[in-house]
Amino acid sequence: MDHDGDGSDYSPAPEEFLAPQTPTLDETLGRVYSGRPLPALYGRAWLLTLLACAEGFGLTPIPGDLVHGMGLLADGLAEVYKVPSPDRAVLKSDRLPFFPSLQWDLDRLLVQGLLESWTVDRESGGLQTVYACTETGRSMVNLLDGSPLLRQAQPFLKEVVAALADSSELDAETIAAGDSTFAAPARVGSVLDFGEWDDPRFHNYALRTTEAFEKANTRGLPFGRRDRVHLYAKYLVHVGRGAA
Amino acid sequence: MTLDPSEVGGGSDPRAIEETARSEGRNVPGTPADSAIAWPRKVIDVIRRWLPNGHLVAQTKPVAFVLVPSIRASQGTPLELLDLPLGRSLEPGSIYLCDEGMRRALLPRDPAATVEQWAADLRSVGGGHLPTVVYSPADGLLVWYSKGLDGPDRLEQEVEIGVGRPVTEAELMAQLDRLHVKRWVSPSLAGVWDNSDKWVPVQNAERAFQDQVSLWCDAVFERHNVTTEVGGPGGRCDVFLYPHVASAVGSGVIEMKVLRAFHFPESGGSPTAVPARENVAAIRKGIRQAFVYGRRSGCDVSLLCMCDMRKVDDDAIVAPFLFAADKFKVAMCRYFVFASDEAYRVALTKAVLPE
Repeated sequence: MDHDGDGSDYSPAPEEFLAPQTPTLDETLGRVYSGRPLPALYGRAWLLTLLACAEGFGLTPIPGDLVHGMGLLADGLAEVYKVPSPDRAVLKSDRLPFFPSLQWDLDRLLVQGLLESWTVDRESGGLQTVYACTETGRSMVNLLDGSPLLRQAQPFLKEVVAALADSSELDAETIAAGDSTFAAPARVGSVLDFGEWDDPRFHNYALRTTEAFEKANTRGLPFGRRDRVHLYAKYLVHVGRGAA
Repeated sequence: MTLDPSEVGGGSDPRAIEETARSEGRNVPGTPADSAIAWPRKVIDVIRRWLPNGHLVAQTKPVAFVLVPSIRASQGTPLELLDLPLGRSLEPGSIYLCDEGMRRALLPRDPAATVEQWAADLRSVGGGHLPTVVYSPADGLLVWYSKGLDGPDRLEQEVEIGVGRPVTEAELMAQLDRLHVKRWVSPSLAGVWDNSDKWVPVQNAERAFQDQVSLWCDAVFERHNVTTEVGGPGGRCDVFLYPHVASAVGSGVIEMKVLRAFHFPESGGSPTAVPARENVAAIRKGIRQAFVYGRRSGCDVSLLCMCDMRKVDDDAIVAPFLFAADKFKVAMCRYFVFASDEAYRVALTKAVLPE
């Protein structure tokens, strides 16, 4: 099996579907969703790092829909730090962002004992699943530091979580309503591509928003990449307040 | 300046972009979230917010903040919205278990009646090995134990509340002098040696010194933002101090350089000797950087801080640059970091009684 291609010419053997094995499916999904020569478990390690950081910042237990919202923020802003993100497209929905590949990894991290989850009452009624990172999961993130790719991504992921933690008003709804890419006018059910095939310089509107902060900069020194990530979180709160 | 909606596109809100940049541009963290000093800087901020509400200053019992790996998995009485005092006071003799965001805390014990009891309580909840900040109200002293009370690393400094010193060349130099005396001069406190017996600094020693300077400045210059690694045309400035409130006076850049006898090669492997010309080149480059960054940001002070980790304390290396530094209006200061306590003692005695 060719593991180095972009996955476009990959046709899984029938037995892979007839008798699916988790690793095989993981590889298949990793290739389908990433479309890039990223390691098969990169997305899973990315997600685990996000949740370990959320644990450190006291954001856990974190609702499942906010995990997807956090995923959207991280995927959209990764270009600010020039780190490869596992997902660069999202399905436009009239509610909240949802990444099938992220959910796939979330479920597997649970089974592996790196995350834990339970259900709680939702304020608006009904139940919701919440997630937290276990001690084993946090130890695993320390080991991931050995991967150059993840070592490069870790400071960025921690900054995204820090920005989220600094803005207590940020929930999944606020992110969905304010994110410049997800809120882009498009038909529900269409794919919003912010870098998978389309050039992120033009189609990643979260990135473009962070670049636009500079035009209204009055503080006397340019906004760095860290500033842009934090300002974007504050921008989402601003938009959310305006919408309210 | 007004943004045209087509400039950003998607679902962006140009008005909100402008408002955010204007109103929040000065409220972004000055330190990366993965920096070792990000959390103690937040603790300083919380102490400053809370203290005006209480009478802690008259108390002798300290308070402690312990950074736990998971606040969810810790036990104690919850305290929400730690960043907003809401009329509450810090309880003398208390221990606060905190997360990295400092949004909430847990009180694992009732406030201790005595300092001895407080110290025992602190160790029982992990203060011996977890990152801990101790604030002593009697003398306004903050001690940062990055590896816990029983760990090797500690940084002691005063947190100033309501003082708001001006950023001037004299003030910056005075603060660096104090940091040198309190921390850098002694190898057991400096935390910048990988192997002090062989004069080998830690990897990325500049970053270690930079962290200590920015944490120190954050505690002293209350009315200024202290931000690190500020990018822009011409490169990245190490430490930048700019006004946070209208009443703040002055602004400055500090460029950090480490002069050394050995270093770890960028390609990895064992430490190798550093030729003298490399240290000379570092000073030359540092002057240029301090000048460019200071001018770029319209700063009142441009300062080159040299942490000297060579074998011999010798000012001669700086002498050829005095004219250039003066011409470029870059203030220079060199601080010798002793590799052993014995060497420090010898230097002190020689100063009193030359051989």
